Amino acid sequence: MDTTMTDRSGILVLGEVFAGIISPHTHEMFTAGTTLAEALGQPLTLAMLGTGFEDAEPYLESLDESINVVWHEVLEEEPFPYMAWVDIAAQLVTDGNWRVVVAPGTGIGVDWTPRLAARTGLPLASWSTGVEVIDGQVAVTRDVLGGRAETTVTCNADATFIIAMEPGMIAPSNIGSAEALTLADVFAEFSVDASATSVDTSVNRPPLKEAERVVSGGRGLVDAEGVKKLEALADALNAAVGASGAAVLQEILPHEMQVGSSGVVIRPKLYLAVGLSGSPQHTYGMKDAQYIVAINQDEGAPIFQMADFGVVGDLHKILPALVEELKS
Amino acid sequence: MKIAVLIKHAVDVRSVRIDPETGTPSFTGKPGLDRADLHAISDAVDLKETCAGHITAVGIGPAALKDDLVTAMATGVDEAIHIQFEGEADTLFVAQQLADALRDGEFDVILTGKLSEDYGTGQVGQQVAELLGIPHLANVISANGADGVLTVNYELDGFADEIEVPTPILLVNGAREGEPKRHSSLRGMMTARKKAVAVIDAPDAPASALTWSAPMAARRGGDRIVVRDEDPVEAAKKLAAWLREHRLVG
Ligand SMILES: Cc1cc2nc3c(=O)[nH]c(=O)nc-3n(C[C@H](O)[C@H](O)[C@H](O)COP(=O)(O)OP(=O)(O)OC[C@H]3O[C@@H](n4cnc5c(N)ncnc54)[C@H](O)[C@@H]3O)c2cc1C
Repeated sequence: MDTTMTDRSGILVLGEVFAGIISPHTHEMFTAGTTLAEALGQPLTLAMLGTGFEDAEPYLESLDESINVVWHEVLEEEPFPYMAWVDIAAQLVTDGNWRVVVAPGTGIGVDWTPRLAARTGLPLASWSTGVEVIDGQVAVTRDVLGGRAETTVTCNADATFIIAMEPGMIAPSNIGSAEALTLADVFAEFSVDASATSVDTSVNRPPLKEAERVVSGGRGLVDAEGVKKLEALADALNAAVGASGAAVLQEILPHEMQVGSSGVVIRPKLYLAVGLSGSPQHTYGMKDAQYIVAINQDEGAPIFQMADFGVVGDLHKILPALVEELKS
Repeated sequence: MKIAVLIKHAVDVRSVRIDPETGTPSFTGKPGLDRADLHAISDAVDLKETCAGHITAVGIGPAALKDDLVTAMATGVDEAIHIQFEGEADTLFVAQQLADALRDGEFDVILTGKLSEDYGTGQVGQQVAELLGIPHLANVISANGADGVLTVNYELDGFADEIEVPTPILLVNGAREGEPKRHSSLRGMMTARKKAVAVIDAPDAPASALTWSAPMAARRGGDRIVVRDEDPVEAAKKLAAWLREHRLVG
């Protein structure tokens, strides 16, 4: 080990406990933290910030002894609840000489992590989609140009690197005996069962996970009319039907069909994306398809940047025309 | 009310083209006022009309930022400050320069965009607020300053809510799809060009602890055919032919 490099040591994970419930994103941060701790050979500290520790504490009793756990109550005050988080986080960050601080990229995290960076004068990488150690340096990947391209941000070893992750991009592991909610569970909480959507289940389509061809719909489908058009295309191509997260949340398509980090990860020969934008959580599940086709009315949608064939236009007009064309 | 709006000179992502061989992005359009900031400017002008306010646009960036400041003035902003700076710097350096320029202005409300179209760090607004020691509110939809009271409409967990907030405060506009409500007018451009833009020189940025690799498309290769401005039937014909050619029909 090159001792001239730095005497910064240790990984600090700033976990969230909301009224006794460990946030699902904390499992993701913990996973990122353990990955870094192992790769750098450095100790991990898990700071649990929030309220309701009596309920959360038992989960961490079985945690590996090498992991240092600390608890800090956060007493939020309206109308700016993030203020209390910055105060405590800044104290923890400056009390140590950390190599890396993993902070939340959740709704409230996005509010306070930039303030934490400003108060401590430390560099922050927000919206990170992955973490790694390259030649002893900590690096994160993140999307730039509105999701059209990716970049790697590397931090010198002589600065404490604050990393905030984009939620839903890391497969979460258990923390002690607190079973990790899978991302699919988290999403399923909001989503609906197949019967609530207008999907025609009487037709025998190939199963999504094994299908050679998949046609997936997003928010742009709008309603049952759109679903019918998507299904007609699936049947014309003998394809499975997939869905984006927004199509599931809007109850347009059922959760079993969701493709992405909290749905299925697939590598079909053909992936035809209809009326979906191509968020990082979605492309996580389909970027390795052999051929990608996109139909979207917004030419700026990131999905076009990974498409072999793109059609800019209204799906409600193009799908029926395409079905006609394929039948002839 | 004294209102400030922070603006940035950025690439137009709608003009990004990815080289199919190398995955390298290039831009067919001219950089200009970041689209997120156009929404913030619209908010600022709306707010001004509710409280007889005065708006100052503040930006840090290269010489070309001046045109963006002029556009802001043509959209309803009253005056502009250009912090001259060339090159790349950390968000915190940018926030520090903006905070320094704002500190003595006694602004009641500072408005910013949410995510810029280029690097989209979503940090600068919150950092400026922290450096000025004032609170911020994110995901703002609109602000009203009638009777000297600031009422803000914002989004929280997918729902809109309205609250009265103290001043001074920084408001981060919610990312919005579609076109900004306000645009520069031709007449506005003519008068704006005659207005002076105050100039401040930024110091050199300190060495950054972070290194950003050149942006690269996550997936490259492939045919990269794009069909646009086509009748749906014609577009469908082309796509069907391509699918057949690649033996992708069942
Ligand atoms: C923890 C977590 C996990 C998540 N996991 C997943 C996941 O596994 N999978 C997933 O997909 N998402 C997931 N998400 C959600 C994800 O962040 C995005 O919100 C979602 O993927 C967006 O879905 P969309 O592309 O359909 O919607 P949008 O981003 O709203 O895109 C809709 C698109 O439709 C286009 N459109 C609209 N009308 C038409 C028309 N008439 N014709 C043509 N085009 C049209 C628009 O131009 C737009 O590009 C997750 C989020 C979180 C926080």
